[in-house]
Amino acid sequence: METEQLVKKAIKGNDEAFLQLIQTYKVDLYKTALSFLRNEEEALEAMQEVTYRAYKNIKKLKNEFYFKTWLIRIMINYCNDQLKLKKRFVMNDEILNSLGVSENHTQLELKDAMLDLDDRSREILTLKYFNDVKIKDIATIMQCPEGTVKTWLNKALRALREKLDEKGGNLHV
Amino acid sequence: MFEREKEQLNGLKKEYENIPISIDSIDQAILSGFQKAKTEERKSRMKKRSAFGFIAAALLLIGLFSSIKNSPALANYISEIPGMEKIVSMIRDDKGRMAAVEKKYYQKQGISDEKDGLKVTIDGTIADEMGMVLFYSIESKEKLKEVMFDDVKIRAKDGTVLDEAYNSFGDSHTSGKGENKFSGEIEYFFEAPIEAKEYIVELQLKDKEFSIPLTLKEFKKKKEYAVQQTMDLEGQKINIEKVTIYPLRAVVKLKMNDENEKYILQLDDLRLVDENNEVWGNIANGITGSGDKDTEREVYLQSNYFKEPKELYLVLNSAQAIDKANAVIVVDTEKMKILKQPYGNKLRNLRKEDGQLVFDLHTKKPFRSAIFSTITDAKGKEIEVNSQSMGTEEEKGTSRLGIDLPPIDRSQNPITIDLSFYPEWIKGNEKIRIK
Repeated sequence: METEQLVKKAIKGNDEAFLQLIQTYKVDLYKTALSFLRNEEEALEAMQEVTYRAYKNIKKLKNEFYFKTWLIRIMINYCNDQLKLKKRFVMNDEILNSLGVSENHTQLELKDAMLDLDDRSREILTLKYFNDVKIKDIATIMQCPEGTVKTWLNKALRALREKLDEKGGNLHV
Repeated sequence: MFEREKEQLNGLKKEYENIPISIDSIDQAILSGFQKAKTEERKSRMKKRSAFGFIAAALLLIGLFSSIKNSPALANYISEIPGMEKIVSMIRDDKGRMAAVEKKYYQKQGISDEKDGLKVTIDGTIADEMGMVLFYSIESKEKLKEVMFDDVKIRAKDGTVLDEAYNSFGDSHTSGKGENKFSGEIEYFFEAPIEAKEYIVELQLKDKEFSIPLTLKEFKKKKEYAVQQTMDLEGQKINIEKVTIYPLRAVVKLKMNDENEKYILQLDDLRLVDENNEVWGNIANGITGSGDKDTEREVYLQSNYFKEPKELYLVLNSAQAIDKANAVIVVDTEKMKILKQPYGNKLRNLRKEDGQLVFDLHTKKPFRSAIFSTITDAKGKEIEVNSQSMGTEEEKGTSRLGIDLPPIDRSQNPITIDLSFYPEWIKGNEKIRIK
């Protein structure tokens, strides 16, 4: 069945359609959570909470073409809130290793820099580069002109560069 | 511009492409989130139809085993009818319904409707002139992870209008692995008596309609006791008008005295007791009452219909009550302030979480009820509540109470919240003879 049809059904209260949609995007959602929270357990908790929020709010979704972006935004908002709760919780190598990822220095720096960004910048970079959402779609779901999204994206990239330079600078002292 | 950063971001994405993930754990998490949302939905669906319905959805912890063991007759009967065990497991927390099965008042139906590999069967019914309980099973060719009726309509075959008071249709069934068979119960209760004749239930499930005819055999007649006696807890008077015992439940009709200084909310332990001190308590899982807090009210108890007591008493020791002068919560949702609440300052830390309005309720022991009833805005217009939630934090002794409200604009503030439960009690030792 076409995604849009499934979304329409889910909005009308069809549970099967809803679950099928979550199934379709679960890996994207989970990886997004993991990139923010960097902890398997918390990412799973995020999956639970996002399923809950999506089910509760699906009636408010206005345009069925943007279901995926809508869903990922719920995840990003949730993760942003979680990060605030944790404040600047510093990751140690042990947790990183437990993810089964061997990280090089650049990637580690990049992740730290992402966490230092403001919420909107982090959201927009995640949508664009992590989930491959088109600028046009980001604009629609955020209800603003495409030009604005492009400006935000540029600001976000600039902010990211600054953070990376700071960190790089520190390392090379 | 920013090519290096873009490249790094793409690198990050690639890194996650190869990360090992446990699909099982993710599916588990999705299922728990879905179940949480469904549970709340079920509660709110049940609530809609009665203005002041006390709903208790207790967990059934008593084992099936013990209750069957206690009744050799029942154990015998169960072994005679295939599938009966499952039905008994659904009603084991209700003495009245257990007795109905034991006395063979349970009526076997066994009528099915099948659509596209999905088969719904009404296995049997217990019915009386004010209500009916249908026991159903659902069989599916494919394994299903989740099953829940979207609608459960009933109509009389001859077209008589049924004055339905409310229905409830059981838990949503969820299973991580997927199942081929599910069973549950649907309850209907009516405002006006119904007749024993042919009915048609129309069930909606997974976008399919199932239509199943039922013929109900003659009902056992109700037993009525006119009472007109008064119970008194700390000076607050409750006039018990009438007790009517139907096979499915006992209905206590009562009226609060106008001169009471307090609104009496939940009657915690109202119960029927016979000459041998056998007790029939409140409904453990379902609708426990209806009516309004300051007018006439009906409280439902488990039925002792199938016992013939020599003496029957109505007993009450404890009720939740709040001062009439301070019986509501008034909240400004813009300034996030509690402007008014019952004495004792038990509600604190008003906040917004996940779009819900959330309070902490401070009590000595955790208070496990969602306390809110009708909500009205500054103009006196009712605000439709999507759902209420309740969770306890055992260590802190607080309960977290949430209300899922639609958006409230400035002109609607402040809002007034009526209460149907509250952790303030009046006590006494009241026992009146009704037979």
